[in-house]
Amino acid sequence: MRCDLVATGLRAGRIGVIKADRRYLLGNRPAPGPVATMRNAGPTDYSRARLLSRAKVQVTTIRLRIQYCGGCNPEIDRGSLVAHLKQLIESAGLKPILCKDGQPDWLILVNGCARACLEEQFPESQGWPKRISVQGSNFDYRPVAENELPRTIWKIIRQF
Amino acid sequence: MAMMTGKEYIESLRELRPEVYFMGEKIDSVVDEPMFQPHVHTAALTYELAHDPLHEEVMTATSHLTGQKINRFTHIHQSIDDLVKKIRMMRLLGQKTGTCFQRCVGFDGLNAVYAISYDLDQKYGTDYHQRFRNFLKYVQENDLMSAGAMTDARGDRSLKPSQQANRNLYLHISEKTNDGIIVNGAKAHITGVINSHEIIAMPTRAMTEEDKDFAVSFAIPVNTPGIKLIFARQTNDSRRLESPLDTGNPKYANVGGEALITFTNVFVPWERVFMAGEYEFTGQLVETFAGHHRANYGGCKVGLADVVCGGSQWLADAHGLAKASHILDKLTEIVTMAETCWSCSLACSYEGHRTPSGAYSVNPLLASVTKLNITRMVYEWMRLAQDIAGGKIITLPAESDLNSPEIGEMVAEYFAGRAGVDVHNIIKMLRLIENMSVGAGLPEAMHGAGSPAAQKIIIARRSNIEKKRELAETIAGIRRDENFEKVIGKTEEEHWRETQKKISEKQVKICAGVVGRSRTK
Repeated sequence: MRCDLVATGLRAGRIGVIKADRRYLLGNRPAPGPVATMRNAGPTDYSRARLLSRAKVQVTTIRLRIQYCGGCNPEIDRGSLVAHLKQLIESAGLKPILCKDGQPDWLILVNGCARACLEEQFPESQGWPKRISVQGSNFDYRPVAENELPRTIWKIIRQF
Repeated sequence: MAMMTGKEYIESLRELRPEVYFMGEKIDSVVDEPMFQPHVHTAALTYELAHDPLHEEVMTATSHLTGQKINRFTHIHQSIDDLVKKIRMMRLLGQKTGTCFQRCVGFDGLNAVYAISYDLDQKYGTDYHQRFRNFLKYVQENDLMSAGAMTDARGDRSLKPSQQANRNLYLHISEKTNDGIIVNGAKAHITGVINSHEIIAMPTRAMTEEDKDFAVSFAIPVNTPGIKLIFARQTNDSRRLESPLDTGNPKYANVGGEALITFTNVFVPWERVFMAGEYEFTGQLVETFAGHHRANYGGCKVGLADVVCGGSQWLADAHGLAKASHILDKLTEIVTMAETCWSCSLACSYEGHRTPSGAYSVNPLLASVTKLNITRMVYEWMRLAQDIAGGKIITLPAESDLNSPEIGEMVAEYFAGRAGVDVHNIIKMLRLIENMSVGAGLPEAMHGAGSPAAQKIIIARRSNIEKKRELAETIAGIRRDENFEKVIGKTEEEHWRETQKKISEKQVKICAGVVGRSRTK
């Protein structure tokens, strides 16, 4: 079943039309083609991913691909951040499953600093439907206290 | 074979049994010798961290030969990104070990010989590069540690290798056979060789035709017959036999651990020879290696600066001085210098270039600038660390006094800091700062990858003074400024002639005005 969805940008004037296959929405296969990119790239517009996930099914597991930068001089404790995030997910009754490749439910880039080296390797334009990027003590390019980062990520994830 | 873990690396050394001497004795087992263990542990970390998801992004790479995941220390840089990731890896390892972690010399040797052997083949139609690729594949598949052996003993520095009274002062080819070459000589100050698997020998300077026997590069297992390794005495080294607390960095040592390698009629098969007499390429090989190696220092030594900065602040805090303005100022100075050097390393990497071999190399001018800054700034930030730590770092009693039933309590009482801080931890941190800032690590920062004079030679050679002269001549009006002429729409001479005329006319008017006014008066 193909669904035509209209995603409305949070920022005024940004509208994208996404055509999606139901199986793609459920994360079981790659998207059939490039997802329409939003103009005026700025802080990530999660409303698009939210609309894609409206075809909800009951889930008990969540597949995460955690990608760490090299940690040459990190501003944050990346390992603790992910450990704390996993705790938050488990406390919501979900089982986080870590995967190294394939099509995860969420791709989480854990960059140790604002340089965010991983964003070159995993740009938004690659079409990851659900991609979160931590940039040191920034989230979505805005400063967030380190101890708040796991909760901030969890807030995004649990919207879906 | 997959990448080795730290433990597997240590066990791999047991099989080698190189001929090692230290303090007059032949050492049976490098792995079990207490004097060598910290160096072995340090190198082991270069293996172990490659398996850590938190660091594999910089610690590993994809081999361009096999497509397999390999330890980055066995990788040939294929992009600017590779050059940058290498520097990031250096800083990471500096932070994790607090010392020289040895493996980068061989890493840079791999990259230098890869690039130059290609150029050699292009000129002479030899097959050095293919031999090297075969060797490299072996290194990658077995995750080996190579020791880069460049510096010769050299004797009288004013004489060329072929002019030395003792030819062995420079490693050289004594004989060529159908199967290989026989070499004699020595290589000095070779970091990490006692706990390496292979030695990569390279010439130490640009050679001329009379020195062609000295223009030699090869790779050989460290336990090859005829090779002896004589390990160096270094500052405070025997403390590791006496007391972990007094050592300062008992896990990882305070310097790489260097040895003299002597070669006595050592046979090297042709498949392991990558240069044999092609003296025209010696300068290029040296410069390529030096560029790669100098670039590292703004990574590895900055990692050490991170440790020293943190340790100094810890000590200030432990003594109730965390908020003192002079302490904060000194810490800021340390960070400023360290990040300056970091900036230099990043710059020489981002400004790198592709070589004809396909491998990437750093900007050699900026690499030498990096290293020259390190030779000055390391001494300065260590000085500041000593300043912050206080005189205690050189007056602490021994661990045995601290543990003495008779006087231990007094030692603990009089070396305490502020309430709530364990005096044992204070002493540990003081010893760390002492041994990082007063010892072999500083001369290593000075002379590793070439002494300051060597960097200045490269900087002077590549400073492009002629171009800078032209810039000044253009601005001064000695040389034609085409951009200026486009702006004004005429030649400079015409412009200044017209301008002079206007000035003269204006002066006449002014004078006329003045004269006119004076007449009316």
